[in-house]
Amino acid sequence: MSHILLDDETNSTEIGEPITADVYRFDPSSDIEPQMVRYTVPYRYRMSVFTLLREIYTLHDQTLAFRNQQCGRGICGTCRVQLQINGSKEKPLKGCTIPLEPGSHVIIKPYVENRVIRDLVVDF
Amino acid sequence: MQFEVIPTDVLVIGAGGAGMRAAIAASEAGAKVILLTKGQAARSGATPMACPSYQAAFAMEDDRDNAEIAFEDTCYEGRYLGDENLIKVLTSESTERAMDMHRYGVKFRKNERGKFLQVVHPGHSFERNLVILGDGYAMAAGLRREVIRQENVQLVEDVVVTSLLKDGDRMAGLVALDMRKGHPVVFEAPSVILASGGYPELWRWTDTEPGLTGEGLYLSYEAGAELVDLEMMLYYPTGLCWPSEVEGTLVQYEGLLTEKYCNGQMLNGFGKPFLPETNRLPVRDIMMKLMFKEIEEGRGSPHGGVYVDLRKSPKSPDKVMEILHQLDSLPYKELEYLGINVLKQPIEVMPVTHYTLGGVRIDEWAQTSVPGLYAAGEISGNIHGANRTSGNALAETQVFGRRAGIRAAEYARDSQALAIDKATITLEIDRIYALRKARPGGIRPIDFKRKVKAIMHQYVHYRRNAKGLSSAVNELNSLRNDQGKRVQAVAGPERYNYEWEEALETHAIVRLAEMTAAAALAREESRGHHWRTDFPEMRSEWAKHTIVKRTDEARYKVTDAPVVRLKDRTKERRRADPTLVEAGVLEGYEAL
Repeated sequence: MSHILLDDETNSTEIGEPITADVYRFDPSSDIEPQMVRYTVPYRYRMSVFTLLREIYTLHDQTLAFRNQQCGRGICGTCRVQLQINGSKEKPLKGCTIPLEPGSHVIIKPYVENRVIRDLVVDF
Repeated sequence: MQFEVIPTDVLVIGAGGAGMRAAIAASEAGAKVILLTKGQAARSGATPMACPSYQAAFAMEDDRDNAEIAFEDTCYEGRYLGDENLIKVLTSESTERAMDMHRYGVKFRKNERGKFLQVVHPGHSFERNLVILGDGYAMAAGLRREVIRQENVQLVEDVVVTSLLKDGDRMAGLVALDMRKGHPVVFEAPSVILASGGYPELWRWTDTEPGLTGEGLYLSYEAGAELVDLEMMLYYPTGLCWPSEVEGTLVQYEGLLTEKYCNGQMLNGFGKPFLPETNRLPVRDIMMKLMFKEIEEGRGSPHGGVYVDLRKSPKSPDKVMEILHQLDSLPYKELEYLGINVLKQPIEVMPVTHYTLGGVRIDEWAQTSVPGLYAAGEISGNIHGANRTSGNALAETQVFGRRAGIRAAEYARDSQALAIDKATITLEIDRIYALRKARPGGIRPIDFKRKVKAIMHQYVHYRRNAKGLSSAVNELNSLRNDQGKRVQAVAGPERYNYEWEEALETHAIVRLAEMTAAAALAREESRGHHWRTDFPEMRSEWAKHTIVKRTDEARYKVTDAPVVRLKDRTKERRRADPTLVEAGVLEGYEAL
């Protein structure tokens, strides 16, 4: 999980079309209703949905809420979200185990919408 | 400032293996318990990510094994730096604590005779590790179910503890940021148990989850507790080093390379075996040194590691897969999603920070030097010594978690009414809110963390020397003074503002990193995972702990303290394997 705070990305860059991500944003304490916000994120080799969210937090929008504290290898289930990739049917999936292809369009929603603390953070 | 104070008997910080076991024990002893966790219980921290290994000398596979042999194994493999009274407690109680977990519904793999399967890992004289079905995740889930059954325990998740409160010399409670509510909260209790894990996240290459930043240790230090052997950070030999998406993911070398199990091979960058010919696979400190030597001398793999090659196993891929499955050692399917197939390709691995050997100094009952403050699990620091054998981390959580819980409940029952200082609390709440205020030259916490990690990686990594360690102390000190005060979280959202949490973490991280470098500078020898280029040998005069203690608001001092002995180790000491001595990875041991 060390790459979270890694500056040099020399061993991980690969030319590819950026990822387009539509992400669910909602603060039940202040918003009337949720909205989907679009981010365009540079593609990185074998980047997972979880890495994509980290990149958005790091590079684009530090107010995005999702659970950072998780295992990153498909064990803990903390990163579960409802996911649509390139027009597929919406499915509950662990974000860290789903690698993205260059140029993909993903729609990311909370795992259980009626238990949202904020954005993608859910009280499981 | 208005704030509500929530009273209880025992506060437990951290809901991993040790924290949950402590909460159960305190509750069973009649105390009211509030169990706090920075993430979610059984889904964050180290325990859910742990391998399935729990060390307990049941002697199910080999009746020659017993607690005394486990004790000697642990003392020797810790390079005689662990306090032997604590090792005694650990090795003699881990069997009973395994049975407690069994009662909570945690399942262990059984052998063909219907008894617990026990496997041999490096450093065990006999087969001693139980294999938890479903790994650390299932263990944490089992403990969580038991916590929920305890009516005296209230679990509060997504809470970041920022400061411990005192009443004179004794504990009085704590201040925390409740991430779900989006504001600070105050708890009052005579007993506080720290079970919030270690600080492997201070380094660049690590297999742990990002929450393991060590603020619990720093809180205990601020409250006056002693920190012991901070320089001892355990490297796990085999973390994936490529691709970066899975960098740091642990693959269990104990199962992959042991002849009895998968019988794979470890190869250098030229495809040549390089481990010395011994009948036992090396333990972690030895293994990490052998690997780093290979890499340093130019025989590494393209991404800076070495290879584990299961294709070299004399066993068929089906058999290897069957064994892997039985040992529960890898998230194979998940790795396959990301393009790693351990049966079809050699995998590049490198040593990664894995477990914090040092930490808060405790006694046999997990008590620190501060009345009412206890510490159990990875956060405690004087149990294993300079290296830890497989299976002792999960065992430690249960043995010392329970002990902390019992003693904390007793202490709370006998304690007088507390007086907490409202002014101190107000100051702390102000400090928490101030982190969201815009400041000139504001620095994002994530960038500040990166700087700390870069310094640790450069100077306080596996190879260390006085020059580098002095630079680390100075650079971390200036970083704290120059930029630490400018760390600023995004102001917008109050609920689950992760950057706010990270800003609170940076406060502890930079100080803890500096003290770790200072402790490493003080220990002028090489022992276990502490490897000095300017002092390459183990030295008898350093068979003692380093201690870091606060002297005033701004200063700490590094001193030392003797190791607690149950035997005279100048006489009763195990002989080292001559092959390893010859390989130059146990320098100075023979001459001790």
